[in-house]
Amino acid sequence: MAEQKKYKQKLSPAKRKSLLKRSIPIYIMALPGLIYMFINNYMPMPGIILAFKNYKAKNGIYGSKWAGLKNFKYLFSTQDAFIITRNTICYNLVFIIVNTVFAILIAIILSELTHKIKKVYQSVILLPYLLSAVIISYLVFAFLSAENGFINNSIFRLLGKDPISWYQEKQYWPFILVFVNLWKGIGYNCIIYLSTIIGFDRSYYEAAAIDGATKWQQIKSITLPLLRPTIIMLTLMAIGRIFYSDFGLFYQVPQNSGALLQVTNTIDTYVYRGLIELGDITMSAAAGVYQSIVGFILVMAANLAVRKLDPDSALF
Amino acid sequence: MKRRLMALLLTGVMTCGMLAGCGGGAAESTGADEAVEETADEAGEATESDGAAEAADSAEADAAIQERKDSGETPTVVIAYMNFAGSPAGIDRVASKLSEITEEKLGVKVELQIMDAASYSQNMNLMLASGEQVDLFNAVSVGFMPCVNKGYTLDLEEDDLIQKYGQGILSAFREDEINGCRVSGTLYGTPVKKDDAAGKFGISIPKALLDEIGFDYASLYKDGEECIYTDFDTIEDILGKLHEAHPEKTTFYMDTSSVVSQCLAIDIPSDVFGVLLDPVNSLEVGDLFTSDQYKELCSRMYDWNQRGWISPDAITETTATTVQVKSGSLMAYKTATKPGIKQQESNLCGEEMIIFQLGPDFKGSSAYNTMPWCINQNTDDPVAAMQVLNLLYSDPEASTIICWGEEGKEWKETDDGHITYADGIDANSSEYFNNVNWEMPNQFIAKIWEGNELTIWDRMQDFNDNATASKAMGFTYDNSDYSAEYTALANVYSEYQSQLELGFLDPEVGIPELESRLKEAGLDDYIAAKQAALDEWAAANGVQ
Amino acid sequence: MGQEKRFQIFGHIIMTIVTLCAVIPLILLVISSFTDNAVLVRNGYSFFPEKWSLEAYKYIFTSGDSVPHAYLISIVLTIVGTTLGLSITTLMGYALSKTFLPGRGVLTFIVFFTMLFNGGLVPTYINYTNVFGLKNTFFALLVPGLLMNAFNVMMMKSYFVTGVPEEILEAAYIDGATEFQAFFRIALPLAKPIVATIGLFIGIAYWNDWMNGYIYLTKRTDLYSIQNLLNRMIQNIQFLTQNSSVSSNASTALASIPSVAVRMSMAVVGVLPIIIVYPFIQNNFVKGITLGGVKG
Repeated sequence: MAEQKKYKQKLSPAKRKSLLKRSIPIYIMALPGLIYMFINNYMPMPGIILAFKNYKAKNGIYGSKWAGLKNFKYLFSTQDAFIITRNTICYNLVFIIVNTVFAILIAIILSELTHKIKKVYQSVILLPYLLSAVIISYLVFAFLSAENGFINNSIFRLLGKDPISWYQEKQYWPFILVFVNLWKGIGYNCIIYLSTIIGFDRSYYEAAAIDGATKWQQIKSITLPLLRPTIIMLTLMAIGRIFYSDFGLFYQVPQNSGALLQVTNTIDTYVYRGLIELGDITMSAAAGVYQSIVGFILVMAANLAVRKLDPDSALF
Repeated sequence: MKRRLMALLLTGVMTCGMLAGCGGGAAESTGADEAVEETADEAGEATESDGAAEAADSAEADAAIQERKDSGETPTVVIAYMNFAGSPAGIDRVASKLSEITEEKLGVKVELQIMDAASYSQNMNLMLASGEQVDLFNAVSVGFMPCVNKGYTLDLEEDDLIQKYGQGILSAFREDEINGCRVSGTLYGTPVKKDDAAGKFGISIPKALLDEIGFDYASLYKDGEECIYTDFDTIEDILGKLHEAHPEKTTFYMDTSSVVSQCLAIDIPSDVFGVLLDPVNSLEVGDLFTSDQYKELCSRMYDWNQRGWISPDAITETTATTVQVKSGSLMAYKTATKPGIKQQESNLCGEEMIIFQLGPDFKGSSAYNTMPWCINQNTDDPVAAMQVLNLLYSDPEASTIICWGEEGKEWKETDDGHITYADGIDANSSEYFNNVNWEMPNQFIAKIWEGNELTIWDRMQDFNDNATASKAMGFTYDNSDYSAEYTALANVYSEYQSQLELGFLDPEVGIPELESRLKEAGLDDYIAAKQAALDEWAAANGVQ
Repeated sequence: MGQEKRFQIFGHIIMTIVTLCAVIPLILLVISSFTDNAVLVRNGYSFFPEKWSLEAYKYIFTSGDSVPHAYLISIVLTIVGTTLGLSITTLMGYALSKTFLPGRGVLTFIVFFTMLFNGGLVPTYINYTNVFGLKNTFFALLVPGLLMNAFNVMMMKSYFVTGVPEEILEAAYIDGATEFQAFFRIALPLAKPIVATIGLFIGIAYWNDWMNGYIYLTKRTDLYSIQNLLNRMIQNIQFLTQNSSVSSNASTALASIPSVAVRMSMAVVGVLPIIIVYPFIQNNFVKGITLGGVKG
């Protein structure tokens, strides 16, 4: 950003003209993407007002009467509002930290390994990401089922421990969910770091090696600092989604078991339980708007903070 | 920053302009009704369905058909409903077969839109909201009240639409059945011919297992009856013996979503928060969770669970009960009974089943409006839509096609008057085997599939007529003003539901806890609102 | 070098553990797809089933829903979608990386904003069906939502900013290259790792997607992708076990829905191609390394 300003100040009229000449092809490059964004995102965007309407089919979205904030009421007027907000935010924070740490760890290891088998590692750990949530919930059930699960049937039996009714004991689930989330996403999450590391200039490492730096020192003083902008950017983008939760993870994986609700109910699952019978399109629109606005505020605040501390890493 | 805002605003404004046209297309439509001037026909009160379906052709109806045929144009009526596998391969062929009849009789073509159950609600909402052409649709899964609230449904008595063009529908039902689809006096749908009542707390057990434990069921059958009506002592005796004989198998299971609705003879208007605990005698909306019935049910299940009759995995079970029986892992399960149930369950389990019934045959207030047929308010031609609907209710040939598909392709007639799979066809290879005839307008006049008695629909009618009925028959509760409370209550209930109703939680502890959480979530207000709505309905309909 | 060796061993140990964690449940998935369904229902999932069976695979390859056909749709969709999506994403990302570009901040914000706000399902649906008429066409699988997203553009942009230094491009300009030439000859080869990565992301998104088919293909189920088939099956089971309004009629329907083994075999069939295709994509990472080395 700072650089850009300097660059602009120095512009003479002639340079300005050449800048324009250089910019036109760049705009042309951006054009297909901008058109798609316009069609896909901005054309439906005014439909957000559906969340504030008392929708009647006859009048259409725009002709329907305003409902004020009535459609939002159900998100707040409940004793569970605290629990679902807490669950959504806390899980997401933990996910951001755990996923980032492990993704970087795996990416660094993969980038340093020399044996060809690393290709196998890399493909295999990506596979869980390709399974749908319901299939994952079956697999989790295979391990945790009270009667036939592996943990109760094999591991605990070997250890001589009593079986646990996993789907009725909520204290284990924060860990289970974090683990399942990590298991599912690790292969995917590490790819972006891996490709960033691979793009680094190898001469830094060669120079460091000649100076006698240990592997750990190289990672600490070359890889991690170079990764910092990527980490910050990914985290900022994750913060924007902090009010959303992966419905499959919180609804299907715990098998919608009531006993676990205190630790598995998030904004999305809460909304779903109401709307499955109510079927109200304005209420679901309201939930989306609520999640977007909170995410927007948080990400703007976080970006502002980043801009103060490290201007080059800010999103914009 | 300012520039950014400007850019945003600009995009927003431009898009607004582009989109504005979309929602509005709905408004015009209905005005074009041809003004046929006869008002004479006052056959509105066809009270008894005495087979006089031919009376359906009113003068207006004939005139409308004639006019359509004269004009040389054949409008298309789109009919939407759900099944469990999505659009079948033969959908267009079946539609054109059905069109042959409608074209000849009504001068109208039909098109079918069949969506699978899981996506039906969302897809219908999208199609109805976007103004796509759907003329007739079944409100199942989308929900009748949400449809009415969103204004998707046409008032069927607007300009006497149903009186003029739907006599076949009116004569297929009693007036109180039709009235079940009224919301605040306005008729928004038509009921379907199906099992309106349900035998409460039926239990289904394989005959072979009963023989094995030496239980004498044969003497318990009363003449000609399909189910054995018995008490809990007998059942507990049986379950105990079954458990003893096969401790490795699960003794008893019931799927959690329907425990209350299928076990207790209470009336549940819209949802379980506020129910009629004594529906035959009283219009009082009470709290289910403090009632003796609920406590007794939960205590019994707790007891059964303690005895080891219920699988520790019951809460997370997703396999169909009948599949579990077939695989040999389950011995008894709950089922709602109705005529033909013994045959149905035996077919599904692949062996003969004995059905016990512990509760009465009961018919709740929502019997007629769980899956009504509605006309989209956006339809171009309400008259054509109504006439097609009327035909589906009154024409056996049309009803057979929409229920079972095309003769020779999907089905063939057997020697004794049943129908069965056409040669070389089975359930998998059939191009139109929807398994949703309970959702079709009138399966009672369609042909009967092999394996069912030819008198099945007479028996069904008797069953419906003789079942104990709720006093609030036809009442619909609109909870849209209490959607916030409803969502909160539904979330609290789902926390306890399966644990209590499958006996994993001691009701002495669980019920008071549930009750206090529900109270905090606004149960009292919700019940009071439901009571007020019921009182208003009762006053308007003269029910005391 | 001893230290290097220690690191290698340590790395292999960690990766072996992680790989095992990923692969064990998947082996279970494969085994259960080959297990007899009755055994599966009775005994639950097992690595050593009592009885093996090929029934599930027979079912999915012979039943009415044509799995090979759905495969074809999935493959065509993924190839076309990835090619198109990757092209516009890369171009967009590159454009946004140009620090001299007037209005770059605004453009970046316009892109980023879509990550947080969207019109919601109903307006999006109305847009694509009423304005563009995509319903029940192949384009309904291709266009809505998947072609480009803000996340990928931002990743691409940041890679171009850090990984493709302006100085290298300057050299090309001095030699008289146009912007397009500089992009195709210099920037794109340097960006191979990220192009491969984003390509993989887009490809996976297309391969995994079932929402578009679910919403836009109400009639043309012959255009269903493999994920649509799988999800329709699974969602309907979910619906039946939860929705009490049809439950009195649900038992017949539930019993007619394919067995657990079939669901498992569908999942296996859905994952399989990625195992085959992924190594080819990985080669591009390796190429990226060599190029990265030259660049310094």
